[in-house]
Amino acid sequence: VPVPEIVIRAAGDSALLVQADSTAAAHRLRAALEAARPAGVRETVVGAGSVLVLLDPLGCDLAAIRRVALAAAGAAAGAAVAAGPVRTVRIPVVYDGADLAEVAALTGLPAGEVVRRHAAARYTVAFIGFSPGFGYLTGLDPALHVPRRDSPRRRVPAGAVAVAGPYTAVYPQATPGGWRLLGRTALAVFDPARTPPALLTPGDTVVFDPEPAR
Amino acid sequence: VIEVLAAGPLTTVQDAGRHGWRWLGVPVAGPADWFSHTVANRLVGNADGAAALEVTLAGPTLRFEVPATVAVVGAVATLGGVAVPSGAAFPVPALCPLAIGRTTPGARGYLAVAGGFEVPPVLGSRSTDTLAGLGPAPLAAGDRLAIGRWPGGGEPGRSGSGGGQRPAGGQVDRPFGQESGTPQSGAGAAAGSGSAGQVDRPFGQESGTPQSGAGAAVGSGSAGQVDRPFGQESGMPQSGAGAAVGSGSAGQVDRPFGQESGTPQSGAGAAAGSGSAGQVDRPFGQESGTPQSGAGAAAGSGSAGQVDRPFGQESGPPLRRNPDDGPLRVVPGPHAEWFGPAALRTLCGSPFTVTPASDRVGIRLAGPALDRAGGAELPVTGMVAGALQVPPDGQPILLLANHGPTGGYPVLAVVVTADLPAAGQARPGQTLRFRPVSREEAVAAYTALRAALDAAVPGRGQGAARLR
Repeated sequence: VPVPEIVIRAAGDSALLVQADSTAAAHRLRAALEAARPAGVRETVVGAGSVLVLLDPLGCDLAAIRRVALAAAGAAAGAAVAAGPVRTVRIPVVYDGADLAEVAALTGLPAGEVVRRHAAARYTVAFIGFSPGFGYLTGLDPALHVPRRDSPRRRVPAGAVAVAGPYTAVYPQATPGGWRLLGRTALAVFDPARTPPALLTPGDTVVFDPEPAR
Repeated sequence: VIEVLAAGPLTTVQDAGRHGWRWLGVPVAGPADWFSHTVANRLVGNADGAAALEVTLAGPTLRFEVPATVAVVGAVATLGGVAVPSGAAFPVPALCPLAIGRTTPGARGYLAVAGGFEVPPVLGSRSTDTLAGLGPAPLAAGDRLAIGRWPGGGEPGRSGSGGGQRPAGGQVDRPFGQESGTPQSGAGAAAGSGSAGQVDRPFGQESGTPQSGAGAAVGSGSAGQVDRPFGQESGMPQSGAGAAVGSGSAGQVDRPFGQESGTPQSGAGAAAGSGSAGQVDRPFGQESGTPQSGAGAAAGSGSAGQVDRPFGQESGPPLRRNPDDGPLRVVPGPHAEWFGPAALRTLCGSPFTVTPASDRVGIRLAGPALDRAGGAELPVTGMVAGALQVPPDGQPILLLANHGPTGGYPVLAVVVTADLPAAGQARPGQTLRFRPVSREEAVAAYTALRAALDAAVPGRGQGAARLR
C-alpha cells in the first residue's frame, strides 16, 4: 500500500485546507472528519479536491485532525470505501432553456441530442457553493463541456438547469449567473424551512427526467 | 417593540451567524466586527452572539415603545436629542427617539438591547445575510422589531446592586478602573472628565457634553476637541437636557461601572459617566490615538498597560479598532504556489486602498497588482473570513463575514481572527497594510484579545464572582 500523500495547510488561524487527490477523496475525508469530530472542528466544506476544516482557534487538536486525514487518505489508497448508501435525487426538467440553441451550436450537436445526453447521465453532487444549495454536479458528457457565457446574466431564474465547463447545476435562487441555460425545474432546490434545506447534498446521485413543456 | 423611524444606509440584524450550513452553500453572515458586537451585547448583559443591530456608516432612528436598556458601540447616538455615551449601557425611556449617528472610528457600529432583537430565526440564526438573502431584510423605515426577554429573567437595569443582574456592566470598571476611576470623585472630577474626554474622543464624546454646571467647563472643553474630527453638531447637548440620559435609572446603569461619584445628573456625575465610557472603550481599542507612542492620556496609558499584560511582549493594543491602528496581520497561504515569489512581499510592503465596491461580503482593494503564477483558475475551494482572494487582475478581495462559503480565486494570505474587527471597520478610501505572522502568532493574538475582552467586559457567568 503506497504511503498516502496529504497536504494540510493553514488557512489563517481558524481553518485548515486539506488537499485531496480527488473530489471523491475529499468526500471520504469529510465523512471521516465528521465521524471522528476531532476536538475543535466546527465545520467542513468540500471543494474540488479539497476539504476546508473550520476550527476553533483556541481549542483544536491539529494532531488528531492530521491523523484522521491520513487514515482517510490511506483508506482511499487501499480500497474504495463508500461513505454509506448514496441517495438518488430525480429532478424533472423542462428543456426549453434560453441557451439551448447556443449550446447546440457550440457542441455541434442538434439541440435534441444535447438534451438527450444531458438527461442520460447520472451525476454526482461534487460540492455545494456559490449560493445556498447550488450543487456542482459532475458526470456531464464531455461533449457538453462548454465555457460560461462571456457576460453573465444579471438574473438567472430559480430552478434554471445550466451547464458550464465540466459541471451542470440547478440554480436554487434567482441570482446573477454566467452558466448556459438548458432548461428549468419546478422543484424547490433550496428552502430554509425544510429539513434539510437543500435538495442536494454532497455525494448524492442526481438524475434529470425530461418533461414536456406546458 | 421598537419602531424604526429611519433606517440608515444599511442597518442589519446580526447574531453570531448562521453556523453549520456552509457545506450546503449557506454563508455564515454575522457581525463584520465580532469584537464590537460582543462588547455591545455584554454591556447590556446579553449572551455573546445575541441578535443586535449592525449599523453601516450612519445609524437608524428608533422609537422604543417600552423602556429598554441599550448599548451602542462604535457610533455616536442621541436620545431625545441628547448625546448618550458610546461603549456603555444606558436606559431608553419609552417613546424617546434614539438616533444613531455616524459610526466612529470605523465603518460599523453596533446597537444591543437587553434581551436581544427577536426576529424569526432562519436556519438557526437571526442574522441578515446580504449575499444569499436569508434572515431579516435590512431595516426599513416603518419596520417594527420585537425585543426578546432578557435572559436573566428580569429587568436588566432593575437591580441597583448591579451584581447578578448586570454581570457585564458590573465588571467593566474593574480591570482598568483603578487609576482613572479614583479621580472622578470629589475634586478629581475635573481631571477625570478631562482624561475621559481624551479617551473618548474617537467615540464622539457625546456623554461629556450634555451637562451644565461645574463639570461642564472641562467636559465641554474636551468635547469641543472631540467633536471636530467627526463634524459633530457641537452645540447640541448643552443645557439641562442631560437629564434625559441621566434621570432615574441612569444612575443604576452607571453604578455597575463603579461610579462612586453618584448619579449622572450632576455635572460631575456626567463627567464620571463619560469616564466610564472611556474605560469601557479603552481595552478594545486604545482610542486615545496612538497608544504605542506613549503619548496618550495618563489614564489611557495606565489602563493600556493593564490591558497589555495578558499578552506579554506584544507591544501594541490587543485590538486594532480600525485599519489605522496598524497593519492587519496575515497568515500566508494556503495557495502560495499560485503566486509569484514577489506577491507576498508586495502585499505586505504596499498600501492598499479600500474601494467603494466593498460591503459585508468583502473589501475590494486597490493597489499594486499581486503577481499570480500562471493563468489557471483555482478549482472551487472552501473560503474563510479574512481570506485575501486574488482574481486574475491581481487586486485582492478581503473576505468579510458575509462571504460565500466557496470561492474560485487563490488565497495569498488570511487576516488573523484578532484583526478581523479592524478589517470589518475599514472605510472606503482608507488604506490597509498587512504584516505576515505565523499561525501560532495568530492564535496567540486571538488568545490575548479574548483575555482582554473578558477582563474588560466579562461575559455572562464570568463576572459575578469577581464582582463580590
